[in-house]
Amino acid sequence: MGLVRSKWTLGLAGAGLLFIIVIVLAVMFVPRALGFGQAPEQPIAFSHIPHVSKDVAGLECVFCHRTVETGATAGIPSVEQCMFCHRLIGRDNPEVQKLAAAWADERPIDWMRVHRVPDSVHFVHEPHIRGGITCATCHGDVGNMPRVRQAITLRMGDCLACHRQRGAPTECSVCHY
Amino acid sequence: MSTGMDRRQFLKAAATSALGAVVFAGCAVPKRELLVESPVRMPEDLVTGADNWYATVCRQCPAGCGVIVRVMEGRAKKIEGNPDYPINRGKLCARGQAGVQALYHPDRVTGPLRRDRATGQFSPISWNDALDLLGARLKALRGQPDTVVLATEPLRGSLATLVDGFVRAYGAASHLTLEPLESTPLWDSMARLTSPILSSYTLLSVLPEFDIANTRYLLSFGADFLSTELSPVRYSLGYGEFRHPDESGRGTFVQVEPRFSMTGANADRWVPVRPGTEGVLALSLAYVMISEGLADSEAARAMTGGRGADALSDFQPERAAAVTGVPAGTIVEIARAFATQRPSLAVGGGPAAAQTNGTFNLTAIYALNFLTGGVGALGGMALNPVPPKELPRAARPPSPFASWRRLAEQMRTGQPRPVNLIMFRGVNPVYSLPTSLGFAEALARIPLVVSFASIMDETATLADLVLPEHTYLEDWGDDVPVPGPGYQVVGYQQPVVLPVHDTRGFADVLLVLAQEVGSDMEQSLPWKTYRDMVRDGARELHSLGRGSIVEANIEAFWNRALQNGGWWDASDRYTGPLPQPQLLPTQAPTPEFAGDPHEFPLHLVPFASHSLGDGRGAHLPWLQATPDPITSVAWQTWVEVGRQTARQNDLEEGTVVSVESPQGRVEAAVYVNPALPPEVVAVPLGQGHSSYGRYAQGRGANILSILAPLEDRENGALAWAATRVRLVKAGRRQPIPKFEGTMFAAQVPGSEVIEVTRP
Repeated sequence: MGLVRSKWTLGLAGAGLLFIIVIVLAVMFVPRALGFGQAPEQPIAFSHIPHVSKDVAGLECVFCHRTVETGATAGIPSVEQCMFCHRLIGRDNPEVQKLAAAWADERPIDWMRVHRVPDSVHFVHEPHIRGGITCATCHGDVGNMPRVRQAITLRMGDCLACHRQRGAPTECSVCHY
Repeated sequence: MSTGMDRRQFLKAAATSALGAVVFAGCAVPKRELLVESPVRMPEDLVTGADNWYATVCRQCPAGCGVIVRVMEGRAKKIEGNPDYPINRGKLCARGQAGVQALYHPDRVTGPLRRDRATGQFSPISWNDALDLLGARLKALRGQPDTVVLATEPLRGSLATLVDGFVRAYGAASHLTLEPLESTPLWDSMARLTSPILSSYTLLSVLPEFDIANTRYLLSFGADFLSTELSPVRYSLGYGEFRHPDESGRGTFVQVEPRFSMTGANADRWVPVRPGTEGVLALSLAYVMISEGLADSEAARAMTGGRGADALSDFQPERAAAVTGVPAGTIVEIARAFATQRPSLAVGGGPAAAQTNGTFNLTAIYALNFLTGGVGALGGMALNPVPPKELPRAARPPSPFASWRRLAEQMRTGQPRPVNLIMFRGVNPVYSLPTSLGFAEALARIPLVVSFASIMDETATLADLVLPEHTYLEDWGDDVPVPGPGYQVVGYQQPVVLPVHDTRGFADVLLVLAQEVGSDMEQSLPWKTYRDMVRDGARELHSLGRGSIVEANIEAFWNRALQNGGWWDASDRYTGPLPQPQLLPTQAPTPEFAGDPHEFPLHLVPFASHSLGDGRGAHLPWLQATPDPITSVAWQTWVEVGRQTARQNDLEEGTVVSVESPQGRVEAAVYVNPALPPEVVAVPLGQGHSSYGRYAQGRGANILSILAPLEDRENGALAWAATRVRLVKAGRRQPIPKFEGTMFAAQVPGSEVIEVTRP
């Protein structure tokens, strides 16, 4: 009897342990699955630093991400827009040469998305910008990243905390529709 | 010392080890899903050309909203509401938006067609030949003009004048108008309630304006005014203001109807009523208001012949409860609130009007407004002003169903005289009249059948000559919207694009035909083109010298009228004497239903589809794909049954049933709606086309086809909600194409699901 019980106990304990391990691993990996901390390699080693830095180009975010104030997505600049400046600037830089080659071939550039939310969420940039949220609130200090990395977890709790704090609506259907 | 791992090490190892990689590789997003492609060129530079917005009038339903159409490089791209137009003030419904699809429909008739009766095949024919053929026939039949029939939708504006003139000049050709869900009972009850004031001008050319925006208590009997009734965009606008919590508070809205409509879903209180008993309920409300002294005493005296509540003793709440199925307590509550929460407004329509006692029902319903002083008052039934003669002709009631029944009879028997030529414009009687009338078969006996359809509908496929007309976005016109907003409005319709195909305007074809028939006809219709006629109308309007456009010369007036989409004079309100309350009926005519109650136990309540209307929107894929607001079903016909009925008959969602009336049967899948009363089965209109383009054809069922030809006793209007049916399982299943989830509607405390059961 005692033996049987101890076998059961061991089995249960093992199953429980496995369960806990899975949960712990899931908790560790979910932010990663959402992209947190990741800085995927891009087809062109683009750095925001010279573009944003006041000492160099000093561009505003909306100069390139043109639809952030009007649409759902901030918008990836077109190759043509990059070439407005890079026709003249940085022509010796091998990375700019990749850009020029794409432009010469009329070929789009396949950037890797860094920031994203699950498919069940409809995130629209426009009302957030209108509400005075800075880009850095969700994207971190992109202007100082040599390669863009997701600096904020962008989990639902983060969204809700901010929405509560600012009195923004928190009904499910605001984002999940 | 130990070779074993502690917990932290284990987790670290697992996280970075092969195990972790294997377990969580599945969780990572595949790389291709992370690709985001930059466009090569500046997207804003890819738009070439400049856009122009042209104002015109929407003709997708009879409400007549003003629209503006975005045109780029000669192509109509987008339709929006005209922000200036008084009827819809910049708003527009799905049907209006879908107008561009009517223009660019792939199955439009691209040129005139002639059918060989032996083979049934259509072959192209030139406009000249087609008009010569028709003109010659009209000329030959000139000696017997009463054998020529012109059938159109109810017309108004210059087109109505033109058709009237054509018919009169030709002799005595008959002109019939068809409205599948007729408004005849509404016109009739209004004429009765407002006589003799309104009957003195042009046979009640305007319906009153229901001032929903300013009312505080709205009581609607079956009128689905947020979805399909009369002028839904306008009423929805008013409803928005009505619900807005301003200083006078948020209005209360009660909907009484046998089927849970979209409008009913918006109500504070929804009251299911037995079909055809709405008038009894209204009179019972009147009884309570009068007996409790809540009604205006003068009106109460006039409406009861001085006898007070005793005159209505047949309608005491307990008695009315037995007839209507509405508890006596509910009747008393509604009556008290309606009488005290003023201004209040009672409106009626939909199935309440579609009974053999429909006109009685509506008269009783609208009479309630007299008891609360709502007639001619803010937040009540405001009267529209008398149209001056300078305005294009206003609307008239449609020809009642009885005249169509007589026409079918005449076509079939040739008595009292044969029909030698029949022309159809904007109507599809083969689809919209009950099959028991035998209209399609009767049509085969007519020597020449002409259709002006721009899409091959069921009637056009039986025509000998198809003379495709422009869509409304390619044609001229003017409009006097009905019901008006309480003041004079004239809308102007102009072509926003060049004709896409080899089509002509219906009015222009009539003018050509007039020339072909004879010089006397040409003289009575002296215009070269329909545009000239519309412009002549504008000239008269200009001579009024008032309203939204005042210009020194007609040229400037015409330009601004086209630019603004119309002319209106908000200062011109009705100022004449108010109609006096009439005596209320002391007895209610019993509604009659087709079908034995034992054999056909359920009331069939058809309803106009939110998007397809009575079927005329079924050819447009955007409207087909628009889900019904209550069931979320798209692209199909469904049979709505209550949960109790479903349980008793072993039906569930997707069970295909045959809906059988004494006149025929159609098949469709069941959708269980707990809010539907057990004695009712509801089926939407619009589908079941055997023709009408690729998106409409062979889809769903046409419930109009199995209606019994019962008529309103007073005016011969089709009682389209007076057929009884039974449901017979067809022995197969067909999933319902719907957007809502598959969770059943569970009762949750705090947000209960409406469920109607009967003992």
